[in-house]
Amino acid sequence: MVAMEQFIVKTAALSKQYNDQLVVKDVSMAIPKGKVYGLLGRNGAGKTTIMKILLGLAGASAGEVLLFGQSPNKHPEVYSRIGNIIETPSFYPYLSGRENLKVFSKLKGQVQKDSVEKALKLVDLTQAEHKRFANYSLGMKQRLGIANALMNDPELLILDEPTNGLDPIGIAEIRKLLKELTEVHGKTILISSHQLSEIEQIADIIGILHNGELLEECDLEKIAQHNQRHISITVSDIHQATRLLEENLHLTNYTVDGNNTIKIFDFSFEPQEINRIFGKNGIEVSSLFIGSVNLEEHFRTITGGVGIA
Amino acid sequence: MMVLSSICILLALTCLYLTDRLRKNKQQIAQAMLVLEDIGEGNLDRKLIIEEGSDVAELCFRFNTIVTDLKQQLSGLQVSENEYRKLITSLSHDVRTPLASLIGYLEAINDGLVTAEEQRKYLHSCQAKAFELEKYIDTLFEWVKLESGERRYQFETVDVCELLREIVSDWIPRMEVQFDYEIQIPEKELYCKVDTAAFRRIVDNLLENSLNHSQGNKISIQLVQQNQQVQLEIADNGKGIAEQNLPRIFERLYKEDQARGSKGNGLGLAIVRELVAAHQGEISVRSKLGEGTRFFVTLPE
Amino acid sequence: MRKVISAEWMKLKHNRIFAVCSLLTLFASAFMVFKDLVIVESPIEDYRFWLPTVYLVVGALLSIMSGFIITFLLQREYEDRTINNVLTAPTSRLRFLLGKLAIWLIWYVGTLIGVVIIYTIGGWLIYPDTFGLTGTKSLVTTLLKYCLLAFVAAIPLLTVSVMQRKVFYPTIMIALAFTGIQMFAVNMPYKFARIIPWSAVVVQSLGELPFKDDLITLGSIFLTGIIGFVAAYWLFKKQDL
Repeated sequence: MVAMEQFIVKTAALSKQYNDQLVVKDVSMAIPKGKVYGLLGRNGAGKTTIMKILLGLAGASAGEVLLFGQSPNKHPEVYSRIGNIIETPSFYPYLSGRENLKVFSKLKGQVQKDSVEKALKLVDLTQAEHKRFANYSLGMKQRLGIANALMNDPELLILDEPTNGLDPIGIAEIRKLLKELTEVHGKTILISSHQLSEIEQIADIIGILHNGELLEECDLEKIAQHNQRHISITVSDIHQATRLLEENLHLTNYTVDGNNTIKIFDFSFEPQEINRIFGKNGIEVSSLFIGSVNLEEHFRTITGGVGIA
Repeated sequence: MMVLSSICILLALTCLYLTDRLRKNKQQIAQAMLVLEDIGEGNLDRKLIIEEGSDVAELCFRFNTIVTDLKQQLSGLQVSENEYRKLITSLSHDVRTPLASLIGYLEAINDGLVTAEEQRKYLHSCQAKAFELEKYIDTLFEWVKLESGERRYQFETVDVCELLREIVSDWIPRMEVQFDYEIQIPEKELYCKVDTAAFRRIVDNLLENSLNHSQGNKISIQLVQQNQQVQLEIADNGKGIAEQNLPRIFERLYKEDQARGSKGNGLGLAIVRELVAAHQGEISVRSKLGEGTRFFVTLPE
Repeated sequence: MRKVISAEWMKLKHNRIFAVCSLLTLFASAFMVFKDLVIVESPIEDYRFWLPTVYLVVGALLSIMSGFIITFLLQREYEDRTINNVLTAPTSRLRFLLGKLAIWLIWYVGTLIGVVIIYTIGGWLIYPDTFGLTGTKSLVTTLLKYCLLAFVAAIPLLTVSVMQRKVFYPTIMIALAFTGIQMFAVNMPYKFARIIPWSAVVVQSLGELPFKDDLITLGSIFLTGIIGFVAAYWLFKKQDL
């Protein structure tokens, strides 16, 4: 049987052409299991289009999509393992929230007897469940969308700007919910946004989409490690190196790892000082790294100075 | 004639219906088998999705619940495993760091490259670092004992006032270097059921915490009796703790100063919490950014 | 497939359009009966000449209403974008279209049965002496045949609906066009009337035809229906939502 797939979502050279315009160009992205993948790009960069292609709502002009390691064209049942919100939540206006979910529950099937009730409770809509959808506030509509996406406890969530139009409290609640879904329940999430500040709080990987092209995929954990202001030095003699640093620079704010590398968190001196001291005492430095770039600058560099909206 | 043909038609329809239902059931079971295979291979996130009115619905729902519970248990275990890994890495750094320069100093002395004055200074540093290491290893073992449940408590009824006085007097030389201190321990005797080693550890860790992390210059230690309970308060006038972080300070490996280089391994307060709990006591903290921190430990008598 | 139809049925809750369309049709039919019974001075002598007027009226009503029904069924889904949620359930595009077709048919047949009952009663009331069982049999069989054939010929409305997406007037206009052709069938030259599917409905239902003409009319109607559905499916399958 199929081995446990490492990547829940994988695209290879995905392209989409509308009329004469290429709105998605050669996008190859990979989303590992259990991670939150943030698709970051300005409005019109192609985020929603990509998501629609992933969900089978639009067809790709070229390229390949693999969901759970399978081609959705040959195995459309993979869609039952995905929950989604695309654009603004779409429900039948003259049906109540509950009735709406019942309709979709009928189409999807259920994983528990009370799937609908549980979903409504999760997003705190139990009191409004009998109100017509047309009378819902924007926040409530968004929450119903999330309830629908979460209804059968899917393994993959594809969310198109789920916090759009929500107030700060609503946004914080959703962020909390999403974090819990990945950390506690191991779900994989693909989320799109045009705001870096919002996405960097929750994403593990950020894919930068600019004019239909995927410029870069950044692993935030790695960046965070590098981003802390510090100096990393790999030396030939760790014992003497640390002694010298303590003695001459009175450095105490540092750590040592098993690879002969010293990480210094003190900036009360010039890095050249270190080289001078080491050089004078015959200690060789095999690598020096200064971590000080922050995420915003990083993205600006990649998008060629344009930055994200 | 009419009756006969209508009965025939009815029978035919019933047959059709039953056949269809049977076919549907077989189909659903086949689909379920595929999902079960996947779950068997380790993907515990799969769920059986089934129509509510199906004959096998109850079965599938029950199965889903079982798998969910199983997954939760597994997650819990994985979280513990991850924490252990983090702990090991963290302590590995915390042990290597003082050790590196310690060896450096000793090497320098051994190579005879230093003056008598420098040698004295170096040995002083070495001693300090060796103590640091000892403390870290103490903490580590304390933690391991607590986690594995191997810590044995010996509860005896002692006068906590006298005990506290003893512990604090050992600390005075360290405290007076940078802190003004105020000690208020009642003259009379207050008896409590405590494990003396654990109590010492509690006080040690709290004082360690204030001394090393508060960045203040005043510390106060108080012991009072309050409705059948003994309350120990340790307060400092340091930088305080932000309100949103307050509930987290007792978590394992939690460090307020997120910069990796800061001293401490994040276990001190977590150990205190465990030990206090073992005494059936309670620990709480009150603090505001910039206004110092107060720890309260209450133990039943 | 059953769950698709079931879900479609659930979507109709609180819905007024279906009820309104049915009621309008039934009310209009009842009014026609009432008119012939009470208002008109000298009604048509023989019920056999009265019946064709019935067929044409009913056919026209159902045809126009179908335009509204099919528009409502599909256009709303595009506009509210609920179609996205339905398709990602997942529901195959084929089943989605079949479901819509099925609900349309259910509405159609349901209303048709109501109309048949109304006119049967009407027949008995207007022609108490002559109508009898023969009249009833004639009315029921012909009306059912006429309207069901009209339904098949109207399936291209589904195609238009898929093409128009959110916009609503093309289907309504085309439904009116179909209706117009139907009504005009009796005035058309026979050669054309039997080939054009919507007039062929009239030709096939109202007369005894030679075998060749039977083939032509029925062929035209069913071909239109089949091509209509296949085209709708093909366009829908390719559609980007």
